[in-house]
Amino acid sequence: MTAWLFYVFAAIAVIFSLAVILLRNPVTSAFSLVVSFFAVAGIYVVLNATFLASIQVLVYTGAILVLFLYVTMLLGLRHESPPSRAVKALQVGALAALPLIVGAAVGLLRPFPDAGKDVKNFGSPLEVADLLLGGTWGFVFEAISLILLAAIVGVVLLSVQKKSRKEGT
Amino acid sequence: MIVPVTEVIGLSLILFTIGLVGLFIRRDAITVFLCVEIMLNAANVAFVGFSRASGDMFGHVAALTVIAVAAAEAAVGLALVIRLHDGRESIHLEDLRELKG
Repeated sequence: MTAWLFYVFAAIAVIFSLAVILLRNPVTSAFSLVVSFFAVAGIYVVLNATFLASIQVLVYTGAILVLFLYVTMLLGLRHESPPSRAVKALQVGALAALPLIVGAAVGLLRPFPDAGKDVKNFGSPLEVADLLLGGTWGFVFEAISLILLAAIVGVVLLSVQKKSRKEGT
Repeated sequence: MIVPVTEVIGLSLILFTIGLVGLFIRRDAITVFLCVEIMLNAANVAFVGFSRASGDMFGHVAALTVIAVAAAEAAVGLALVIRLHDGRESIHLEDLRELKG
């Protein structure tokens, strides 16, 4: 993998993330985010995180963002909603972003200890599966399934209430 | 490492700032959720970058966890948006002034 690929993918990701927050149509924002996530998956491949890249494309882009687009299209939320031009919103945004930038500028200017170890099979599905499914981080796997179960129960609760209310009126 | 860690973390910072500013300036619920997803993604990039630099696989596991949590949060958040949309026609956050629903 050559290094310039990282910069190309990084530029695409940043440009399309800017498009998400600046464009007026919510559907266009969602599609721009899809492109940005694909670029980030490319970055993961350059950084040798191949399993995570495929999970990013399959789960993050292919399930979560598709769910976003599905809900947007279902509810017909195509109306243009431009970003707020209120001065207060921009001021709060800039105020929130400033400590981040200053802190990062201070922190990133000193040299980083770069181990640069080239571990064999780093980032491959075998390595990740070995860690998650009963390895060192097995409890993380179980916790993730519990979180997803809680989300499912929550969504079903929200939908069931809606149905019974409609039947009542 | 192919790219210095500093630049990967710099990218993560830029993406996170973009998501954060977008969170404040966008006015409808769907785009606000999209900005939250941008921020989570930026955190993932930082995890992967540090994981590659240190040779420790925990960054990958943490990024997987973040993706799973983002999926759960997106599902519940979109269910809430659907409920919001039932009563009124718009999802502009400025129009949500009543607590009863």
